[in-house]
Amino acid sequence: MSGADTSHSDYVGGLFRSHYDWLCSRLHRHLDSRTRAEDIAADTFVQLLSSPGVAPIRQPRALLTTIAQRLMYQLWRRRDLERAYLDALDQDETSSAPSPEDLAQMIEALQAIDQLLDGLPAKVKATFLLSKLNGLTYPEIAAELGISQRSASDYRARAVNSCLPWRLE
Amino acid sequence: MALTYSAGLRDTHTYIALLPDLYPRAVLPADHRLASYDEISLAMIADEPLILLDIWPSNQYFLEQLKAAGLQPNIAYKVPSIELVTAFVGQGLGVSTLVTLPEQIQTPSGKKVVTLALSDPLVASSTVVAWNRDKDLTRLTTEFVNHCKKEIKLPKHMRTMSPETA
Repeated sequence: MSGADTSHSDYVGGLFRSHYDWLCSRLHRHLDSRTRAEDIAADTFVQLLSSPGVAPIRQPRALLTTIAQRLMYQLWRRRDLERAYLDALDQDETSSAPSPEDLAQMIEALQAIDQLLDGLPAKVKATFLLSKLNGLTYPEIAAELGISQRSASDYRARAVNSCLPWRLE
Repeated sequence: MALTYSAGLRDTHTYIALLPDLYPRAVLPADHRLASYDEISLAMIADEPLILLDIWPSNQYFLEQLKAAGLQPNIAYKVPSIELVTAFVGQGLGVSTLVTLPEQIQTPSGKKVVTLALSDPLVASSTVVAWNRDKDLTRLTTEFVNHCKKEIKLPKHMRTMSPETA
């Protein structure tokens, strides 16, 4: 068998047996379908297995709930992004409808960029969005955010660098 | 109408295949003693803890393959997603069989899994659009079937695994 850390794996396996059904029921109260709740509960255990070591946990249900809540917020954020993207496509009369595969890839890309930008300070993020989405120049961004043109240039470069790892993948 | 697998259908339904036939593959931890083999049989892994993808009709399909080979499954975990199957296998909690393979063979924790062809005579898994055999297709449903035939494709990472697309 595998040489993986069996104590950690067995522990998480035990948690799955004991708490998966409970977590599904709990999530179902906040989500529109049982299937969606099962997906989030399953992803919760995938995340737990990817932690370096979680045993022993005094209150495993509290930890599972915290991970699941984070995944639920990500799901809602993804839905918002998808809706915004589809609205933008609707308004752009020049663009043709993307295939379902292209659409899924684009939404994944948007989500990845969104997560990268989320880790940046507010003004860096705002500079990037004003530049990329609104097409503002450095003087216009500086005036909008009350910062110098040099800062606008630096902030944009910093945001672009943050997105580079995603572009290189 | 339903997009489903032919395996779960009764003879009250008729269907059209949308994807090439696919066959299950064994999923093992990358450091498993059999991981370097090109092909294994179900009997070689039958005694090991099985991580069963517990979604109907996939669960029934996998168990029937074992039964047809005269083997008794040793089910350790019934899990509800492909990602969780690979995560559990990657952690060394057992082995599995899957038809739909995850794009990332590396699990989120960095533990790699391998997939191997199975030498047993297996029943193909066919993804189909199905409907009640007593109902005729209307113009709208015919259009829907044509749309499915045109748009539904194997994921890019699986296209080399089908004999019909390789």
